[in-house]
Amino acid sequence: MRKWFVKLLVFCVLLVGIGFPAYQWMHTSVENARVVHRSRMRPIFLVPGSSASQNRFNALVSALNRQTTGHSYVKITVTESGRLKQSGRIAPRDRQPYIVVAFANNKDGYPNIQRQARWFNIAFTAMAKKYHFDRFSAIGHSNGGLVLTLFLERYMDQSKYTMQRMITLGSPYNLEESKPANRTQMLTDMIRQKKRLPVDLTVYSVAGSENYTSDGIVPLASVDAGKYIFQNQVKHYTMITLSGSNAEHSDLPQNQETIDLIKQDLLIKNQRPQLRP
Amino acid sequence: MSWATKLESTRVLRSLREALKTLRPVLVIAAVTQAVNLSVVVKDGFFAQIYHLRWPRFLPVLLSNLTTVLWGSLALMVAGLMVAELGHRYLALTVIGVLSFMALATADPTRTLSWPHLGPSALLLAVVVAPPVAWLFDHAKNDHWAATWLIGLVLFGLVIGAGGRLLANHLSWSWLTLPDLLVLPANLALTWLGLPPLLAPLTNFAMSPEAAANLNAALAHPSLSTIPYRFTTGTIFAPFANMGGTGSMLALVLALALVNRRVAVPELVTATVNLPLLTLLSTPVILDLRMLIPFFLAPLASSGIAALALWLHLMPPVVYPVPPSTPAPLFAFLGTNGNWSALVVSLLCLAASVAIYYPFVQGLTQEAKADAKMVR
Repeated sequence: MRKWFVKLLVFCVLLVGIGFPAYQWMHTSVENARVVHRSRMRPIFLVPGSSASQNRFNALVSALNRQTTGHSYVKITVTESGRLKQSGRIAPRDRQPYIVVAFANNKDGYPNIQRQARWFNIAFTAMAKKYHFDRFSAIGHSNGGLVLTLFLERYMDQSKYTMQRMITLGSPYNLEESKPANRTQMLTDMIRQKKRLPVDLTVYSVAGSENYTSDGIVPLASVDAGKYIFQNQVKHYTMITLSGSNAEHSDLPQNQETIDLIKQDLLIKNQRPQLRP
Repeated sequence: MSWATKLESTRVLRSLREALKTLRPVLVIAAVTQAVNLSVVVKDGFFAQIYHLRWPRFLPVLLSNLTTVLWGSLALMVAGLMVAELGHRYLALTVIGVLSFMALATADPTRTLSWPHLGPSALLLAVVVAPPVAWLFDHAKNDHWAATWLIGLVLFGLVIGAGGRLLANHLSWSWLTLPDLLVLPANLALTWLGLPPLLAPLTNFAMSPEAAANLNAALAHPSLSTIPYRFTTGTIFAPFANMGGTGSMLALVLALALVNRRVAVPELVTATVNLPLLTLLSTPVILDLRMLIPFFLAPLASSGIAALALWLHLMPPVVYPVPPSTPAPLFAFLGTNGNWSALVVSLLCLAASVAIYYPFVQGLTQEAKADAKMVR
């Protein structure tokens, strides 16, 4: 009799100990799946280059907001310890907010770019948790493009998130090196890990040309080296060379061609095409 | 004497049963290691998910390698024991020959130290290979011929290994797209024969296009009554007819416990997380003609009950993905996000399966008792 009682007790404890957490876990996971399913937000992340602050894209975003229906603008700076300082907020029902992720330590150099990729991951994960999006696009200026590439190769969980489009503006994939044969450690690392880049990603690499060989700071050949990373791995890789006015390295984000590219390929078109009279 | 009992009493089957009985400790360790790995350690294991467990990254790799090695060495030992039982002459050479043949045939000769086919499926190879090898050495004319057989076996093993590698690259079951209604019996038949089944244990049914469409509809609408595909393997087979793995092994374990008044803990543990192999081999069900009837009947009856309940709108369909190692009675309950009538239906299916297995298990036990008396 005692034995039966003990057995019954063990059985009940097991049943409750498994059944209750399982029930709760199922409820929360279904609820999370619902929220993500309903969320139609696809933010655009913007990452500035070295020596630039979170205000680097002010001109670009205000130009975009003037020329389109306009979206919220959030700026985040990640401190060296990985804490986030946020300014601005996302309007409810805004489907494509701009989110700038800048770094308190914005120094140049491969070791620091790797650290920035880690910091970007912290900011990205926090935003994804807060706003429950699973698709997004990104724009990186100069080293910002390198940060995004490293983020894709080393941090992003492709089963959870999809980066749809990425535009890099004057990103030096071979740093300051102007000879393609001399590959820097960073380029070698990026090429070695290229298989981890998402295969359904579309990449635009915009280069500026001031004097046929560089945009004043970044050599054209260094931007061109991006092909060794993206070509034959991502779905589309297009390199665009801009010349004329505003083709200097630091002017690339404000260049009207860049703005047109973003309008055309990144923003969801929510206006109907106008009927011809 | 009917032909069924004749087949039962053949030396080959008896030597297989003897080998499996002798090797039961290894079998239990292999199965329990696999069960713990797939349900507790692996990231999408049931217990890892519900208790939010986190393990060091090397642990799942270590345990899955250990599982493969254990199942593989089990297959080697079965082959060795079987030839030792079946053969009469040159026993040492026969054992060495069959072991090296197995090791080479399951290896990938294009890579160093890689045994991709070593695992549960190698057991079948052991059963197929052992009798002819034993026969071969029995009929060797002299020592010289026995040595030639040994070298021949080694070379043949290499050829089979390379051929298997080639075949594995070009062949799979995936070309065979059976309608849902046929998948279940075909899968049962393959498992009973000891062949690699159509639906691997712990198949994730959430991956099919129908399941994705169902999930989408369920997430978009508050009620589960409007989902597009109501009768699929994901809504009927996985939650109701696969309790404890192929052939409703959990029901068999429970029937055994009822008949023997003693619970076989390793079998219960592995069947709870839907891994059927230990129960299939230790009962044994594989190649046992008498178990063929309940083995087919129990899953089919469960599918019938589940389909009827769905058809009568007594319960919503299972749409939410749950880990494949979810304990069988909870599968439908969780997959409907906590619907009590689904739980009742799955308990009903389990009870029906136990009732189907019960008389057959009783027969087996009585026979075993009679055998034990004869031996005494």
